[in-house]
Amino acid sequence: VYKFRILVIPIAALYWIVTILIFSKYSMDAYVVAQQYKLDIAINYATDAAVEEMVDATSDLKLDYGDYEYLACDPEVALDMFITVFLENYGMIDSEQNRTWITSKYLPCFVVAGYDGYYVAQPTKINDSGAYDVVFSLKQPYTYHSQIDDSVYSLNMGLQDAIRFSGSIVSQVDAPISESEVRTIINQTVSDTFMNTVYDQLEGSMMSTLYIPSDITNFTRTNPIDSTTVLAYITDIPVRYGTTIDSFGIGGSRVRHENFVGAYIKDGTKYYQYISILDTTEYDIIEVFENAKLAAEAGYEFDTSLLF
Amino acid sequence: MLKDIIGAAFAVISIFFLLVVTPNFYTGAVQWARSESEAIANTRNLIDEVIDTRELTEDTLADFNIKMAALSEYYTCEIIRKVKVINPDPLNPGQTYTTYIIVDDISQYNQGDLIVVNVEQIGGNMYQNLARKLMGSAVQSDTITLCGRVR
Repeated sequence: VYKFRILVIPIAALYWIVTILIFSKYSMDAYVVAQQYKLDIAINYATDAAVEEMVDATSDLKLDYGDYEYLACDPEVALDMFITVFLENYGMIDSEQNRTWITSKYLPCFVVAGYDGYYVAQPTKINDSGAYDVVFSLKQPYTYHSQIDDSVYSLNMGLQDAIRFSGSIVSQVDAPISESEVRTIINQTVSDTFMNTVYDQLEGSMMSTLYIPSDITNFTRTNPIDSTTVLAYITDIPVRYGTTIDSFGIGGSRVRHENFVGAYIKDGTKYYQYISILDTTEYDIIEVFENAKLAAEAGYEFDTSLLF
Repeated sequence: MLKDIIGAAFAVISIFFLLVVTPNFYTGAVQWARSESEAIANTRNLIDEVIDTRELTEDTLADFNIKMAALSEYYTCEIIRKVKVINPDPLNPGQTYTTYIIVDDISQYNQGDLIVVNVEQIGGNMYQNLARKLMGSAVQSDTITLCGRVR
């Protein structure tokens, strides 16, 4: 009965040690998962803030109907805002040192996809003493090489027209391919550039691969790159016990087409209705408002009779 | 005889640790991990609501407080509003610089403001506290800071 008595204490001690080890492994994993979740949220807020700020502050809607949904913007503003919000998310002070620290160490790639081209920012060697800073590339076009007429097209997010480079002749033409194909090419171009840049910067030691689907549906606002978009990749964020995490964020904006409302008087009552469904030959429009709220504030009522 | 007393004492202590302290330790850590992600989600919801509506109502705040109080740990939170200010740059005439100022009024927001929510854990859950009392084990805790730009 007492034959294995000598083994009891070592086995109990071993059991105890193993339990503690498994526990610390679990505890470490749980912490890493929480940090990963937090980083995902942080980078999401940062990219959203970047694209919103860029569109708010520097957008330039060229009033030319030839360029449908044209929007020019300054990518530097997006990068500035991205880092500001990212630093806030980690409780760090928005100082020059911290900004450089983030851009040179943790941000291998930052892409701003604009209307007719994209900018790529990556840490670039500035001098031989080892100084690095994020530098934006020139605007790169979304090119499409057509086999039919052997010329190169520069596509844009308006999806309707394109610029054709044929020999030395540059001309503005209709898009040579369908809208969904244009969308696919734009997504592919940005996705490939993004991946290549990340791969170059990390010298192949990536923790995960990214794939940005090119064309999912025909519904607007569901495709990854459908309008002015900011993509960012954050890597090597240290969490406890020598583990690092990485994350990817994408934020988009959109030119909103305002649906104005027109105000008129029918049977002595002040009414308003959206211009898109209002028959302007039948009613004399007195005033035009930017939205329904302004019309209501001016004392006009919504005309339900036109809905049926 | 003396040997037996030492062995018995050791056995009692071992069994106490294995059967009483370690389960508390485990359960506490599992529950903490779950509460942690829930706390992050609650914080995120609060920020999302503020950056979409540009205001922080009493209802939103009460909702947030109830959700945080329903977790098994104790949290305290600090909400900071940073107002975006653009001023002419004295060093470079004609240019401007942007800065953020922390203000007391956190109920209304302008476009471009930042909202920073700082959630700090000030106490562990029941199992963590038990394990701490019995063995003096560390209570896992983490500070959550999230920030969003008001649209």
